[in-house]
Amino acid sequence: MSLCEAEKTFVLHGVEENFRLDGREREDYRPMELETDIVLHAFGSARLRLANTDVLVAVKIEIDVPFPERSKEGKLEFFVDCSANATPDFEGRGGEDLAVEIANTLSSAYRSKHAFDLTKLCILKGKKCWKVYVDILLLECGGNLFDAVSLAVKAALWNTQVPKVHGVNIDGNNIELNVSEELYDCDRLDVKNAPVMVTVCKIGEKCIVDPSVAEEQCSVGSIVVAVSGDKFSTVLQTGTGSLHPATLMESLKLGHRVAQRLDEALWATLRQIKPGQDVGFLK
Amino acid sequence: MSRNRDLLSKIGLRLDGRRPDELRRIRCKLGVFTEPDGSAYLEQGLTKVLAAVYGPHQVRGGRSKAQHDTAIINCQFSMAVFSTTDRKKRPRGDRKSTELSMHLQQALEAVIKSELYPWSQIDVYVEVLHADGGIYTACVNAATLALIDAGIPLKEYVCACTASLANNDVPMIDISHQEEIIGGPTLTVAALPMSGKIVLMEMSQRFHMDHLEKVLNKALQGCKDIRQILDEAVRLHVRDIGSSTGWANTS
Amino acid sequence: MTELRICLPGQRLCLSDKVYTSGQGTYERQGYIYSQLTGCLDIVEKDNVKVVEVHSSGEQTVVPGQGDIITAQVYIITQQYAKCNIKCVGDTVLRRPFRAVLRREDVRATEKDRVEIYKSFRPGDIILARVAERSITD
Repeated sequence: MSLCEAEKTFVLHGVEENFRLDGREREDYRPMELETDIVLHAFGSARLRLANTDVLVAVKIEIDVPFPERSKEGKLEFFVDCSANATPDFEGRGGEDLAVEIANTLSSAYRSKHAFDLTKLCILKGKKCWKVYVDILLLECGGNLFDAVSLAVKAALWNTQVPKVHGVNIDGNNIELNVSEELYDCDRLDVKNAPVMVTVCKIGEKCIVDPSVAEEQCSVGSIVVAVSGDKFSTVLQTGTGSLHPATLMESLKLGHRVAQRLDEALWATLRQIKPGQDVGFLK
Repeated sequence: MSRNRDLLSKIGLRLDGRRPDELRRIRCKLGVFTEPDGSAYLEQGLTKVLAAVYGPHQVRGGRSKAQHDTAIINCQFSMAVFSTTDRKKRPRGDRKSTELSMHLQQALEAVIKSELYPWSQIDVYVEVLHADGGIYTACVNAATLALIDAGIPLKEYVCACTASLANNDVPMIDISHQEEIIGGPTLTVAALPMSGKIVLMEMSQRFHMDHLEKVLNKALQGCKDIRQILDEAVRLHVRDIGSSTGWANTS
Repeated sequence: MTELRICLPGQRLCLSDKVYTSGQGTYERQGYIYSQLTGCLDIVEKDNVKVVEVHSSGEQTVVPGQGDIITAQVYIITQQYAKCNIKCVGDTVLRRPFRAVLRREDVRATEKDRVEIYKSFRPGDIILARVAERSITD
C-alpha cells in the first residue's frame, strides 16, 4: 500500500493530537485474541490475532546432545515461515528476508539467562538435553509483526508440556532415558521472564506503539524493544531513518512502560484459559 | 500376511470406528481472512487445511508469461513445519510439494472459467496445518471453497476423495494416515461430481484390474457426498453474508 | 420475482431454448443453463427473450478488457509513452492495480506526430482512457 502526501500528513496530525486513524491513543493497542492448544501434534501451541495480524506458533521438543562448551544447557531454536496466504509476495522464497529477521531477533531476545533459563532443559550434563523447536507461521500481516510474534511465542511456551524423565539407564556409552508415558505427567516451562517485544515508531515529533500498516509507512524511524522482567533483552532498529539519542532514550522508556502493561494483560488472559475449550479457525 | 491390526475388523469397522463407505467428519468455514480475495478453512477428520485465493490480478514476473486468451492459474502447496508427527525441515520447495502444487493446478484449471480473464493471473495458496492422510483431497476441497468465496466463476465444484481396498475385497473411502501406512493401495481421485468427469487420478502400489472399477466408483460416490456437504456450507455462508449486506447489488 | 433464490456454481438453472438464454454469470452446456457464481438469480426481459443472470453478492471480479473505460494514474513518463496504473474499470474500483501503457500516438486524435508526452502528462496525474486492442507484445 502506498500513501500520498496528503494521507501521510493526515496521519501525522492525528498522532500529534493523540487521536490516531482508528481513534486510538498513542499508547493503545488494537484488540487481540489469544487461543492455546490449537495444534494437536505439538507439545504446546498458541494463536494470536492482533486486528489483521494472525500468527500461529507450535512448540515441539526432541532429545538432543548439548553443545560441548555449554554442557549444562538445553537448546532453543526458532523458525519463522511467512505463508503465502498473507500476501502473494511471500510465494516460494519471497518471505525469507522477513522470516530470518524475525527469527534472529527472537533468538537474541531469548539468549540471556535472565530471560529464559536453558539449564532447566538439561537432562544429563554433557550427554542429553531437551531441544525446543519453536515454529512460527505468519498467516496474515496487518502491521506490527514483532509484537504479535513475541506474545504468541510466550503464550505457546507457557502452554508447553515437557514430559518428565523418571530415570536414566547408563550402559557404557548407551544412555536410555525413561520418559514418562502418562499424558499429564509433565513439567511446564518457566516463562515468567520471557521477553515481550514492543515496536515503537516515531511519527513527526511523537512516538506511538502498535503501528498499523498505514502508520508504518509514515514513520521516520522505528525500534523494536524486547523487555523481560524489568530489563531490556534486545533492541533492534528496523527500517531506514535515523533517531536522535534523546528520542531513542524516550522511545526506550515508552517501550518499557508499554511492555509491562502488555505482560500483565497477557498473564491475566493466560490465567483465564480453561483446558478443553472449543478453539480454532471454525469459530 | 499377518499384521498387527487388520484394516477391517470382523464386524466390519475400520481402525477409527468408521464403516468402509463412511467419510470422516468434514467441517469448514469460508472467509477466514480479510486480506486475500477469498479464503477457506477445511477440516477432514484430523487433517486441517487453509486455502487463500488472490486474483484475478496482473501477471507477476514479467509480461512473457501472460496469455492472451486465458488467465494463468498459479498454485502453491505448503505444509507447516509442525503439521506432521516428525517435524519437517522445510515447509515447501521439496519434490513432494512441487508435485502436489502441479496436481492442484491441474485440478483447478479444469473448473475455473479462465477464458473470462485474459492477461491476468489467479493465485491459489494452500497451507496444511495438520496432516493425517488425504492432504491432497482436503486441499482440493478447501481450494474450491476459497474460489467460491473469492467470487471467481466456476463451471462447478471440484471435489477429491481417496479410496482403498481392504482384505483384497472391500473398498473403503477417505483413508486416514494410519490406514495409508499399514494398508494397501490408495487411489486418489479428483472429479467434477455433477458431470461425473474425472480431473485427476493417482494410484500408489498396485491392485488387480478387476477391483479397479469398484474402488473408482466408491471414490466417485465419495466425491458426490463431499460436494453435498460443501454445498450446504456455502449456502449457509451466502445466506449469512447476504442477509447482513442486504443484497445491495441486486435489483 | 422478488423472492430470493440463491444459486451456487454448477447448479443447473433451466433449459436453454428460445425462451431463456444465458446472461452474465451463467454458461450453457449440452442444452442447459448452469450458474457460474454464488449469488442471486435474476431473470431480465430483453427483446421478448428472458435472459437468465446471476448477480454475485460480493465484489465483482473484473479485469480490464478491450473497449473498457478506465481511470488510471500515470507513474512514469518517457518520450515515447507513459506508464500508468489502472485504478478503476468503469464504476468498479480495483483492489489491485493493473499496469497499462499509453503510447505517444494515442494521446490525442489530431497532430499525432507532434505530441510531447511531458507537456501532456506528469507522474501523479489521473487520466480517463479507453483500452485499445490488446496485442501479444502488450
